[in-house]
Amino acid sequence: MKQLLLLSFSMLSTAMISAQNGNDAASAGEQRFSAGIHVGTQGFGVHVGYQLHHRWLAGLAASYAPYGYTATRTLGKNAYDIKMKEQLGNVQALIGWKPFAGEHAGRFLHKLYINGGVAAFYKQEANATATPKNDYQYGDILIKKEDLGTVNAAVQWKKVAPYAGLALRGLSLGGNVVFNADLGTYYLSKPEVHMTADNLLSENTSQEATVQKNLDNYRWLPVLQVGVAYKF
Amino acid sequence: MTKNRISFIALMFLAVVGMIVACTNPFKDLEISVSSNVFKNVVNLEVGSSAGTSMENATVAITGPDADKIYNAEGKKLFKVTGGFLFLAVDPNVVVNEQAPLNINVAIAAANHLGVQIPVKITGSEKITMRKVVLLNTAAAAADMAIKNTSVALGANGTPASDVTVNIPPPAGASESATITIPAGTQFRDANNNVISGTDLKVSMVVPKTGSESLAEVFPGGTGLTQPAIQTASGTSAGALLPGGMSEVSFSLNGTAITNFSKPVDLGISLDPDFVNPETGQKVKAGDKLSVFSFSSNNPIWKHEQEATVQSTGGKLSVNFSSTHATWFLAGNFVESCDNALKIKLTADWLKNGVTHPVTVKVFSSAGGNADKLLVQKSITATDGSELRFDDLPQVAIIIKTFDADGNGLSETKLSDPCNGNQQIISLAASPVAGNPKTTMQLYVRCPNQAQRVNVLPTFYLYYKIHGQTGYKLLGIVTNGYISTTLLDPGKKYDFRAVWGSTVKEVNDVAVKVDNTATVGDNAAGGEILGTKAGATNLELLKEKCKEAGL
Repeated sequence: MKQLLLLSFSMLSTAMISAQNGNDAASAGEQRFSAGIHVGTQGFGVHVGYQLHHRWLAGLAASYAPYGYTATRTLGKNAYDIKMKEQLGNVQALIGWKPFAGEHAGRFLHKLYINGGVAAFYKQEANATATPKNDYQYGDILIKKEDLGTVNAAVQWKKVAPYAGLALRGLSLGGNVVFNADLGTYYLSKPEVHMTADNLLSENTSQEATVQKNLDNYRWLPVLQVGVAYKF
Repeated sequence: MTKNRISFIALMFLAVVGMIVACTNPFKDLEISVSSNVFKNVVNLEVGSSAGTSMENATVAITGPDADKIYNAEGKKLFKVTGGFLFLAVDPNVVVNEQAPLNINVAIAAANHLGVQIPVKITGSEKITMRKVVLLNTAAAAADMAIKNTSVALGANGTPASDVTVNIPPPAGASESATITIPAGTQFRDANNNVISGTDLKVSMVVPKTGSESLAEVFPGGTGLTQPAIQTASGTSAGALLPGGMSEVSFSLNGTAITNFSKPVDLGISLDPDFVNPETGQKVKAGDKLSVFSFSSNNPIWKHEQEATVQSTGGKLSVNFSSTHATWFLAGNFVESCDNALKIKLTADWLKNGVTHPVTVKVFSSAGGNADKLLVQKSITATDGSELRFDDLPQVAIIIKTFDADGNGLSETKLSDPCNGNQQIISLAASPVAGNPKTTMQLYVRCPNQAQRVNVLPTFYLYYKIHGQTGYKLLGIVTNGYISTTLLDPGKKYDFRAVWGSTVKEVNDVAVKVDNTATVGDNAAGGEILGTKAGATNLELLKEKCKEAGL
């Protein structure tokens, strides 16, 4: 984790030094720094940015997303309440490049960046716990749902993931306050599924391969978020 | 130019959306099933006949204070002997432990057999308890057992005109015999004490060889010579009855069972001269005092009747007494039980790594440092570290012996004090019949309309025999479709019989390999099996079970 943060800061520093030495650096006195907050699919968080060049932007962001919901599904013969719990927290280092920098690009496209970077996930939990919705009838015996047991699936990815996407930066809201928006995706490692189960459901750990197969393609973690920032 | 820019943004957006919707439903093909083995505590009675006949038509009744908590393998209240087994399972909602045991009585009756009443105590210490029950066939003699069926003509008033004596000779190789003398004028009564009239009195007598090991299997009470409750002269106690002689006497008059008489009848029971009287520690002799106990199926508990003095007549030792009822009689001694159960742990290097073997543990009384009477025995599908317990052992020195599937001795342990409550660790010598390479059998099940195999697999009893030979032997309990054993010889062909609840299936002429993974299903071309007997029936059964499971 520490190494990833150092990597992020070194990327940002390198970009800043490069920009300062560039022939096309932003003019002196321009407000290069920004700091703000954001909310979106990866939760809420804070971010800082630095305008390296009129076409280049560097940024650091930290986000945290606690998700959870319960759904009822029929899996086999019986219905189960499935409680999903996901906690995602990451620190993200980004470099943005403005593809439409010309004078005729228009106000909107002029603020468009193509972003690339890397994120370190300091929190990455994705669990689903299935508990029987109803009591179970076995012959003349009614077994209470509480006694049937639970099935839990825990999913893990590697802690580092690359990111790519589009971003709108610096749409003025008045004064030094600007609006930002992001649309992109992380490319995660192949997820690893681990299932546990107990009581009368304990044999269902054999379903791990099925869940693993279903989640094999869960490698794209989309990001859609908006935020405001203050430029200085 | 603007068009290109918009197209670029749209493509990027579509790419992200495409990534999201490309993911598979995480619940696709996911089936969560409740285990088919819902029971936490099971008693499996292996029910047989002393004549070797099938007990499939026996009637079974479960009574006792906890009878309402007992179910069959399908969770129903219908109890039947299937494949030689009577499966009794405790309601999984009921918590069973040593502090809160369950007590039931299992009554099994069959034509031409003496019915049995078996008290069963379920403590939860063994998840699957196996016990053997043998019903005495009164129509056919068996080894270690003499049987006599005779008719006595009564007078028109339904009583003998003169004293009638019926004598039963001893079983082969034994000294025990019995004589009953019915006085003239005796009236015969049924269980409701009604006098039964008739002239055709059937008398049936059984005399077991009390020194034989087979006695424990047929001993009334169903728990071997150890009993959870015996009515002694001073109250009811658990303990063991050590018989020097026994006889069962039953009557029927014009088809009605007779339970008692208007006059006492005289009984004489000849004794085993090698019987060691626990009171003296010596072989029984004339002048010794023995206790006479009786056991009636109407009230299935051994009761102290009276004391009797051993007499010697013509070199034969016997006890003589009178009684007004027909039942089992025993002349011998009662030894009170230990307060603690004897706990045993079996260890064996050759049963490590999940290898199982059917092991029989026998507990004998000790006489002169040698094994004397077989008090009780248990069978277990053992692996290294298996544990079992014996209740109601007497407060005397005992000898514990263990045997493999073919009856080869694996250990002998002498215990001077079985009551100390310590766990006894018994190391099993390598079985000479278990020297084959380890073979594993894994059974999967695939429902006919499903691509995936069922994830919940059955637990059942598996028997085997070499193909073409007779007499199945227990291979062990297949747990969740899996068993590992060294009893099978890879390369040889075997017949297998599986007993799962009320279902019995046979697969014959199977060449065993080291890995015997098989899937039950309808894809024969894909190597799936449906059994070699009644395949169509098996397929329907499979479909039915899959339908029940919602698959």
